[in-house]
Amino acid sequence: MEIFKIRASSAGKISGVKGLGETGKSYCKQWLKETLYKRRTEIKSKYIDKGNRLEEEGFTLMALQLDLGMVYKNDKFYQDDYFCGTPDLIHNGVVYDNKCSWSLDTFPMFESEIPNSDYFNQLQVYMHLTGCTKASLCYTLIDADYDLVSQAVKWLTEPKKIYSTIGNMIYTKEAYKVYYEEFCDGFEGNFIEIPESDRIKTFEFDYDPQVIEKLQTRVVECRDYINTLIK
Amino acid sequence: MSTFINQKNIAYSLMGVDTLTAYAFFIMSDLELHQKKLPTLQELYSDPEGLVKTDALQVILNGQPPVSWIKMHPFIKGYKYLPIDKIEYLLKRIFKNYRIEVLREGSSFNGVYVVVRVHYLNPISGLWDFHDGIGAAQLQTASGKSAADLANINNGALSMAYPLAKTVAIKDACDHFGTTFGSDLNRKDTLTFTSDDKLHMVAKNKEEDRMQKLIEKAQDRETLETLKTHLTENLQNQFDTKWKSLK
Repeated sequence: MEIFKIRASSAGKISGVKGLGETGKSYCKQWLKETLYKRRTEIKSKYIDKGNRLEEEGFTLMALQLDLGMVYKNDKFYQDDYFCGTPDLIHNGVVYDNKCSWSLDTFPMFESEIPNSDYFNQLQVYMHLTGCTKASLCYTLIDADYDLVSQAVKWLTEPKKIYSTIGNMIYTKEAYKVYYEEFCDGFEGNFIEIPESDRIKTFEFDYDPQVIEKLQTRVVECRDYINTLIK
Repeated sequence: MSTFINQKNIAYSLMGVDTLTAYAFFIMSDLELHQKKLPTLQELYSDPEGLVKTDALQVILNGQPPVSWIKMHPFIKGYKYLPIDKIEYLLKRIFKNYRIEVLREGSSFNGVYVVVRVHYLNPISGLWDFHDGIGAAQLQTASGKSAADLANINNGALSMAYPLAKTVAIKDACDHFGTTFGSDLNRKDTLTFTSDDKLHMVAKNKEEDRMQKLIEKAQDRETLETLKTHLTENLQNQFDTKWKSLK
């Protein structure tokens, strides 16, 4: 059977303070089911959908606002004995991970600490796998595309509601004009554009070997737990 | 799976090949096929740039009609529809040129029916194409009389029923264009038509867009110089113009 390795994006699930915990155990059970029977549950949501569709636009915003120069999405899959994963971007010795926020509500514009600590573990694993010592978690706020907007307003009938739904998904005047004409039907609203510089929020991290050591220990615990499940 | 095997057995027995050998060959060739990296559907298209336009038209045709256009049927509870003037507006707006042909008409039970063909000029190909539709309308009878009582048909019942049937037929034909024309108004759990992102990726590289914006943003030649290694043929002109404009 395939040996258990934790995916960087799931590292947060086994990083509890006291051992694996219920979250870690559930993750192991799920992993075992998928591995034994070669079936993988595909999680779908509008949030994930937006992230996937607009990933490249997020990289463009990062390139422009963080003065990165030209960047290309990383396709290389990294792994070692404990971890695996595919970082979004690796540029000048820094690992970048793009989190495309669904809406202004969920965009951490004024936060000083990362909203989700799982991402800290994810980036630590990426740094470990790539040999980079610095990482940047970038939240980006990108205009939703036509499909996402039309899906969101499909069953709405109240013009004000349609307007506010679109306003929460669109941040540039250019896109607003298109969707306003298409869906708002003359409803008078007061649209304020959000400048590009305000549509990106970064959190920087340094490589922390202690986090990796802890996660490696947890991976071993996961393997032990999985062995108890198979017996 | 059994149907699959049976079909193959039949095919090979017809060809006079031993079934087991033939099946093994089939399985092997299937495996070989899966092991090879096949081109994506988008890569098989001969003209992805042209198809992007077709795809964009499909997105327009499969959008949502403005909410204010949607009316509730006065007699059928909860039934939504788009009035014919909106359908005609969309035909004019999207296709510019269209014409309606009445293919046939007739009576059926206590009403009449009309079959129409909506011809439209495809804006992408520039060729005329069409969709057919059928519509029916009941003949109006005197108040209190059964709809089946043809002896009591009102004056003008025919002259009202045929145009109505024709209108319904046009709308029926236009339903084939897509949801913008109201085809999904009374359907739940429908799939939203999404543009083919991979096709767009093939036709227009998002990385090229990024480069374009970076060139646009560059404020000195030094910055521009760092982009030079990533230049594509399409961006050369933009790059040269920007280079000249900077000191």
